Amino acid sequence: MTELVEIALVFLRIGFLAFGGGLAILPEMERIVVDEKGWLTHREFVDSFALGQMTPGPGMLMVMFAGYQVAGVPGALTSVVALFFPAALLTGLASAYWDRLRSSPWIDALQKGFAPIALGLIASGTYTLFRAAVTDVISAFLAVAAVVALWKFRLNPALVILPAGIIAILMWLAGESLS
Amino acid sequence: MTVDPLEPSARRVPLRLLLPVVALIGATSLGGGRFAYYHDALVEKRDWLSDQEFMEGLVVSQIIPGPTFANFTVFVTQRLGGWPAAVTGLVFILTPGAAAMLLLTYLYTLGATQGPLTDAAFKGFGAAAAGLTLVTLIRLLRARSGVRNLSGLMLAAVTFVALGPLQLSMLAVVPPLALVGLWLNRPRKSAA
Repeated sequence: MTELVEIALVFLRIGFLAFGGGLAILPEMERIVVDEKGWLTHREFVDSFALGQMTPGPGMLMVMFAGYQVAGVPGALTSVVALFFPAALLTGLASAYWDRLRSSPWIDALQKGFAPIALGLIASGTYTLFRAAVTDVISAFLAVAAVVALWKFRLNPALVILPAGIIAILMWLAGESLS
Repeated sequence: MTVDPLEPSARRVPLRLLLPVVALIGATSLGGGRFAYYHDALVEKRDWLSDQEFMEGLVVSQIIPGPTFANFTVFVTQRLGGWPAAVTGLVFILTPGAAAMLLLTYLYTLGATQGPLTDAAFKGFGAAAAGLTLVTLIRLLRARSGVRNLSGLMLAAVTFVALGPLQLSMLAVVPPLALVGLWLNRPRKSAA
């Protein structure tokens, strides 16, 4: 039970600071889940992000990976509830009162005030993931190839991430056969 | 974003029509640009939301911290079908991905000891996922999202440095910067 409470507190905290959505949680999640708590290794953290991009719905379902490693299925479900439901409640309330809120000048202030922070969070999330995932020539090559495929050809990310895994296997096999 | 106070509220849509749409999006929204699924379904095909209402949903889902796609789901389903739609819609948008994530996590845990091929595959997945985040960032920068003036640029840069290279705690960084951002963009009384 204490593990579930710990999971809930971690992801409640991360969720309440995550302006900008999925990428915004990456630095804090790595700092807490990997460095502070030791629930995941850096490798597992990157892998959980990749898995989250290959499943439908919100990419932030990646938190289930950490919750599962700590406390199995209950841990995975706790992480989802802690991350998603408080924000959902606030959003629901905002939606219910939207007819009154929409004309407030503070809505514009909130959006303009928080947007740069969200951008900074997303940039730091990108930095965090690159630092953890791009560790040698092969991973650097695959990251660049993914950027080209996504940017120039606008492919669906799942159609880029999965083949990258296959190419990595082939490159490893080629390396092994040469050595 | 300037909102038009005279724009009529979203109409109510019966749950039997709304929820299957949300369930389908929950099961099929893979990859980036997930909001596009909603725009296509609710604005383009069914005219249940106007473009302005859709944009308002994006604004609210980004203002409120947390998962923006789930927040957006709650916003639009609550507008269109009330609280029952919001609760059910959230469950529908999460369940397929959660089930898939649980299965993949379980398989990963089984496969973690199976050595170099799995390691190689996940190295590839991770590198490509890193590339995806860079593309997302570039697109946002090109759209100048959040960086429309020098103060916005400074706020974004400080946030990046603090949480990226310096790896400071979000709790120490985000609330004070959010207050600064809010103060810099506070509503001002127009001159008489």
